[in-house]
Amino acid sequence: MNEISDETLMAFCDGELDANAAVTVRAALTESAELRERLQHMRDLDDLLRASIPADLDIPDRFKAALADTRSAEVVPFRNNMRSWRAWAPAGTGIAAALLILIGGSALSPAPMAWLEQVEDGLALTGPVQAAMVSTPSGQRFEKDGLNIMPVVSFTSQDGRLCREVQLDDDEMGARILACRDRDENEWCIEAFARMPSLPHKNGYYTAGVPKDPVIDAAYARLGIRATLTTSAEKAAIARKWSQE
Amino acid sequence: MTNNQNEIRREITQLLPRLRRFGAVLTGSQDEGDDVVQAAIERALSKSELWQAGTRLDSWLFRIMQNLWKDRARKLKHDKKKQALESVTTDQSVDGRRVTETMLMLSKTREQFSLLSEEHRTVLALVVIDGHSYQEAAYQLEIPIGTLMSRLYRARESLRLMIEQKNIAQPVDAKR
Repeated sequence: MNEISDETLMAFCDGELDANAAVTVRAALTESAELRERLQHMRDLDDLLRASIPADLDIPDRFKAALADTRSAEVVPFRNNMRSWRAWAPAGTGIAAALLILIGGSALSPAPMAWLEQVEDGLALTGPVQAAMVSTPSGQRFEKDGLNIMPVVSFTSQDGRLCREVQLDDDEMGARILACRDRDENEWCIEAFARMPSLPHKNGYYTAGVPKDPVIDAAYARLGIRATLTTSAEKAAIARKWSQE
Repeated sequence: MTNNQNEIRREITQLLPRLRRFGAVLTGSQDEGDDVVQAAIERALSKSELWQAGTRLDSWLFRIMQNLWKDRARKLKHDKKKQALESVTTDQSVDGRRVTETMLMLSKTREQFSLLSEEHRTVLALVVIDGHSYQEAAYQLEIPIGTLMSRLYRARESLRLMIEQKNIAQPVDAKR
């Protein structure tokens, strides 16, 4: 087996190796637990650094004048600056595979997945994630098919749709999804998807809600929150399977 | 106001959180970083004809910010005193389920990060925190890709070692 240098592993970690070199590294990773551990340490450090330096989403007054006369920010929910995770994203049905679909530029023709499907207007949740969206109260976990799913909050958007933010973890990584229910099609359509640190049952430190992600928050700004659902309102929504009152 | 200026303002509104974070990392303080961001916005708007709609505004702005900071630091004979980046972030938890150890770990990481050289902070901010490609980061730093990779590797190693040493001295319940 070729020796993989730290610099090469770092480039792999950052998604910067060409296809042939990445194949070599992947092959080495399958053979070497030590190499996998080195890669995991790099990923952990990067996650920790990203989590420790979140972006402050408030816009101080000093910038408001300079940015006046602009329309509301139009946010592309599936931002491309998550490309740095693509290198170790394996084919499959987990979050990494979803990242490939959502960020890898192939959103129009996603590979078959157990919890993501293409619909007319974009991508919708299906399988276990949809099941959790429909039946799991915020703050409670729903585990199925290797996914640990926990809705974080439910709210009504300015256009009257019911929306939920959900934390998703699998064995490799975590993600946050903001999805709103399409009233006509009875689908939970993805408004934003962001890579997030995993919850503590995996990494040993708790990061739920920290950091907030600019993509998720921009989606909140775009959707607007008419009202956050109280526990009882959420319970009622679950009981009626999220149909409008 | 030109169409280009309108487009730039709209894009900057979206980019502002990232610009402010980068400014804070670059300068070592949120206030100083905001000064640089504001100056960069003003410069971008005054030279809006130099930017082509559809190309990456963030790369252009990051580069402007770095040039502004270089000038500013030179003029002010900026002392190299490191400042903790505590002002970079505000309390942003929304669900109230934070655990003290997490915040402690993040705080320590932030502290160690602030002790890195400006060069190392900047390269980590561009590639790791903000997700720029090596090519984009090299362009913004005006260095060859090979130099960028070496610098990035050294920066990661420095941070890792500093965190590990800190954890040895003050163990916390977290991975390195």
